[in-house]
Amino acid sequence: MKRIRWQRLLCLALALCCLTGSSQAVTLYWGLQGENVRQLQLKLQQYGYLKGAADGVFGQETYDAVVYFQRKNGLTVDGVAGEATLAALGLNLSSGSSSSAGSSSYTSNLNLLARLVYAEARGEPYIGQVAVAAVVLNRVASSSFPNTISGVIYQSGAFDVVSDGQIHLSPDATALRAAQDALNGWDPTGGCLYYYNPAKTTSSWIWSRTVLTVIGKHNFAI
Amino acid sequence: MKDNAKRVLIAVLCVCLAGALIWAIAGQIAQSRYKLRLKSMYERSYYSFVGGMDELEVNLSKLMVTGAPEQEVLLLSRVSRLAEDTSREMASLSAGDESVSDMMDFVNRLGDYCAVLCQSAAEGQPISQTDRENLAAMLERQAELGEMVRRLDASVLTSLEMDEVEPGGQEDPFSLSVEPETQVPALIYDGPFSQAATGEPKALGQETITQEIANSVAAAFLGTERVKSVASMHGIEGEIPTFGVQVETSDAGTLFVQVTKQGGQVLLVMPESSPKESNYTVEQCRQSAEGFLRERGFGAMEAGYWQMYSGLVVFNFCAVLDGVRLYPDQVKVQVSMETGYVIGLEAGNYWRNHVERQLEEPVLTQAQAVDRVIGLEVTNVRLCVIPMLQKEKFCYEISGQRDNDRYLIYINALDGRVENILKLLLEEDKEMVV
Repeated sequence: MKRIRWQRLLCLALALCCLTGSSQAVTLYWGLQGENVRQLQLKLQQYGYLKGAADGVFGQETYDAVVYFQRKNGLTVDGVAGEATLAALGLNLSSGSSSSAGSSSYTSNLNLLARLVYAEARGEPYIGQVAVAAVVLNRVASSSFPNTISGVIYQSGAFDVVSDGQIHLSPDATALRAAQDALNGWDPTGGCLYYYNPAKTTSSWIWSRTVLTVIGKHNFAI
Repeated sequence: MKDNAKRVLIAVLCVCLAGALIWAIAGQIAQSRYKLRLKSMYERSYYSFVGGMDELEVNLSKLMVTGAPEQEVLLLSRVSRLAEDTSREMASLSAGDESVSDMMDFVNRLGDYCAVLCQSAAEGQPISQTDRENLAAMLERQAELGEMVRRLDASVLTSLEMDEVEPGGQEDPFSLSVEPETQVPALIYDGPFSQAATGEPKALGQETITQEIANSVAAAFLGTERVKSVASMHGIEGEIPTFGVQVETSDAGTLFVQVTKQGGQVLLVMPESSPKESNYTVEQCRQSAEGFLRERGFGAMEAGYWQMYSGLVVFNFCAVLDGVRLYPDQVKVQVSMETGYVIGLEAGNYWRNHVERQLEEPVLTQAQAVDRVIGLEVTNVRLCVIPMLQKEKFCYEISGQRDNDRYLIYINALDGRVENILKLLLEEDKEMVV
């Protein structure tokens, strides 16, 4: 009886050791290009979800096909081919190859901005997500902050989600759309540079800023 | 038998313990290695930042004593580049974003100012007396900041502890920089980071409206036949104050609308959810957007560029006057590919800039403008007005191709200067300019 319990514990310890060596996951979503996207498209074609050509560009058709596949297979329907969806398709993709964004800096900026939006505001209404992206872009344009999107997002102490690692989560389709809307000039904050959750913030400094609008749980201020 | 089992158990336990110990020690070693690496990155930023502040002062003071135009161009461009590097390093220091923002503000403006001066110096305009006085004041401020930076505690700026530091508080290493007495000279240029860059809205009209009127304006703007219900929501107290209106529509769910308090114009429309299918083509969507703008009294507008994502198409429309495109007067329109209806709109630039313009007669002919472009297979030429740093410029827009890339080159129609060069980014889902 006793021995069996110890064996169980040993198994658990071994399992824990194995877990630490898990590999990095690949996520494919709208806007990406490359070999991994092509592999995904070929699989979707093979199973009859995608009618168009496998051109290596994740656009509307691929998105629709992924959504269709997810719906048919009881997966979370978000149009993003993450770990679960890729596994369900029987795909094992390496992150080293060409899963990265398209060649332009536009796509990589979009991706980074979407990741920040997802990490910071995924529980917020859509307009609140666009607002968070707009604050980043307003900071880029302001002289009091760095002059690039990456500079603003990775500035020390600027966003908690960078220090706690949430920035590495894969964004969903909504966060991507919010980032794209903000890059296209939609700013529901009227030029704000700061936002905070009044229920959670104790800093007296942030309270001294002028609040221009309130969206969801966040106050937006300059 | 029982003893045997006990011994095996103890042996297994010992092995586990040893394993855990080794694991913990290895973790500790790795952790301290990471800490050292992080620390050295902070220190690199710190030294580059301190060095950069010194260099800025040195180069600015050299600028005060040179009379030679070619030296001035050189020094101005060096200052603007140094300012950019220094503000980047400042952003990577371990201090919080709020406490460095005042100093970064000064450094960025200094860099910007020098970039603008450098451009006009390169075009042959000498530095004016006012600009010299501004530069002298900025040098003085730079020297003060430099002195402060030398007294900063390096250990705080490179600390690995990410404690929240209250800006301006006792622990804030930059608290000296937020002294209100020291004035940064007011810059008289309208640079990209100038506070006045966004500008006063010129096209809104005078009358002020109430929330009730805003609600009916929003419903009428979207088309009363689509509207199921209207409710007030938070407005924005920004540069252009607005009333917020939340509109439930029959075709696109909830749309958020911001209506300006002055003039009662629609500034922003945003959908909460995205379209699910795409039944309409880009061209059909463009026609829908064009008709929508015409019916809302936006006058003659043309769609320049478009981009497609999440089941919608975004068009950049700009006003057209006698065939001349007015790029500053821009309205962006989102059309649902599922229903063909307009579901989003952004008109900030339009309301800021759309005034009656008196266009001058171009001095250059179309052929003369094209002659100024080399290495490009020209496909189209047209007149347009483009927004530039300081003011609008009246230009020939020359579209052309080189290898497989498409470019837009803007030649000033009055003096023949090349004002801007844009490269077109063409993909299946967008036709846009970078």
